[in-house]
Amino acid sequence: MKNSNIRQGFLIITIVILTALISFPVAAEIGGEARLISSLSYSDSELDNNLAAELELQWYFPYNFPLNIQNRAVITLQEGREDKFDLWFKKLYLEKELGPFTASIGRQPISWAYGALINPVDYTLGAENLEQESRAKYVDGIEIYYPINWGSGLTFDVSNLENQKEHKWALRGRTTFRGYDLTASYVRTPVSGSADFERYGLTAKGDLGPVGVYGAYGLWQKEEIDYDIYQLGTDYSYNFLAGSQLYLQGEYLRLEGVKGDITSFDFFNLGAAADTGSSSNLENNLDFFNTNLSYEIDEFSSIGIMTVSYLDDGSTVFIPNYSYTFGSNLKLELRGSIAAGAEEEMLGGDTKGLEITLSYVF
Amino acid sequence: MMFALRRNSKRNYQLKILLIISLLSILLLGVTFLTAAQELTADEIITRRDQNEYVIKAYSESKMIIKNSGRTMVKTMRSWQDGEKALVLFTNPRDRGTKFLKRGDNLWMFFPQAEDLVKISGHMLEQGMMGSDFSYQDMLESDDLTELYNFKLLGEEEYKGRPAYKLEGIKVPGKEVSYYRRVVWIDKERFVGLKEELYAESGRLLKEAVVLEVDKIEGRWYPVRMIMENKLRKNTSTEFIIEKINFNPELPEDIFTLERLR
Repeated sequence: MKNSNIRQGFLIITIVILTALISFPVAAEIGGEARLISSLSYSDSELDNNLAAELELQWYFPYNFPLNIQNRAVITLQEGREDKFDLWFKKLYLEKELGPFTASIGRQPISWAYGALINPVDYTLGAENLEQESRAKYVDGIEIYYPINWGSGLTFDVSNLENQKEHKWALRGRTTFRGYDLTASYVRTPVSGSADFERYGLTAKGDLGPVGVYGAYGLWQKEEIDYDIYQLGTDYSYNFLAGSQLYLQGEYLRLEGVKGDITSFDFFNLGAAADTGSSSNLENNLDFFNTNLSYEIDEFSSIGIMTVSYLDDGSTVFIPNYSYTFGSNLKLELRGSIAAGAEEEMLGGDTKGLEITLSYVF
Repeated sequence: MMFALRRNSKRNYQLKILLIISLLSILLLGVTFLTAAQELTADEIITRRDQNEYVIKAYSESKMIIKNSGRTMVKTMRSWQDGEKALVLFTNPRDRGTKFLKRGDNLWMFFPQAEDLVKISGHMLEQGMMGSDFSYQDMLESDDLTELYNFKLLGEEEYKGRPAYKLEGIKVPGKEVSYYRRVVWIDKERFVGLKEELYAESGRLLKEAVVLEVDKIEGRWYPVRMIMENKLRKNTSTEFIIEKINFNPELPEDIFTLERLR
């Protein structure tokens, strides 16, 4: 009954937002991005190509519009899939000030980025890794923000409202101290037929002399999981006199207390990995080192490479990337993925991939 | 009697001479004082320019046109500034909704699509703002230039038909600045910058900024169109155009907060 009411509430909010969008067509401006994506993958001596076309549309309202409505719809047309056409919303939410609070209600991205390549303390694990985001980042939920001062505030998030058992919820505090951006978070995710998955997180980001530094600590707990996660990272950029820029980033990530067979551990989907139970009580400590090297040739083009290495067996994934902007609106991006290491190693295998994206913003 | 008259006449003559000399002296002294008053020191010239160009509180709408070997990129933005605090909102299609907040030497960025709000490392302040020839530091350097550089007057010359002071500023030891030396041409009548050359410590010319248009806004001369060229690269430039600017506007109390950046 309770969930049914929530669903009805969401439906009403969605109708209100859509009505508002339709009611003020003259005042709003439509913008967005059109993308053509070719995904090539090579595995087991086989080359596959998958073509997709994506169109993101957003209504932009005038600054004096009485309601703060954030929206962004995505239409995807994908080759070779049974369900070729897909329409979904990245955002469709209403933001409203309620006394000292700011509430956001509806479909919204919830992200707690702090500059790390892998974020072990995000609201949704795996939502954003190696500068790429997944659809899991966009949730139907409510966010309530309470500002304490200019750089400090408390955020309460609740999502997964259709869940029959319980909702996923989180509390996060953020503050600044001597130029450092500090956060503390707690996330409680209901797990069907099991105790809730609880995650505690702490992050810090700031400068240490000429370099940027960041760190995180995470504690994940549920029935079969008790992980301690440590992360320490640094970044630095060098500006050549001719105007090109070199950006360097490196981070060490350690997961302590991972039980069982670690070869099935999915580093790129830490949330899923946390869900895999194991009968083995042997505990492993997993050590990773991730890097990002990027060279901005000029205002219009850049080239770079990211790596993820599992230090215990040396297996590495290389992610080279290149982008070229033809003008204000047209951009070409290439992003590869090459695994180096034996099949049985953590990040090994013979899979290679290349994603070519041509995008036009309007 | 005649003698007395002659004596009086001679005395009158002497008095007249004295009077003339005194008047001339006063006049010369006056001219000397007047000349001294007009000969401004380098710091006074910079201060007079700062009275026009140094903005404490402002709201502006502007455009950047970035050119590189025939390719052009246009970025538009709205910005709010109050001393060392600034908020910039980009409005062009590719960056629409991207915001950055600067408070002192700290910079936060908001990426609208992902709704990520991230503190940017300090070293990034030296980078070109959104791919332009202007660094974040260039755009947001809110410190008084006379505190960062020791200026000296190199002379006076005409620049594009305008009488101008030519000054040189050398970095004050211990101060963090983007350029070691800068040479500026300042309009002698309007006290507004006309051209600026920015040098590395090695003496190499790094950038050149030329003011293409000045306008009198709210009683002060202000550069509204300028072009920055990176002298180490060929065929690149960034033109910066201020389409609207209000000095000392009423700014919302919470505008320079992380809450408003979201």
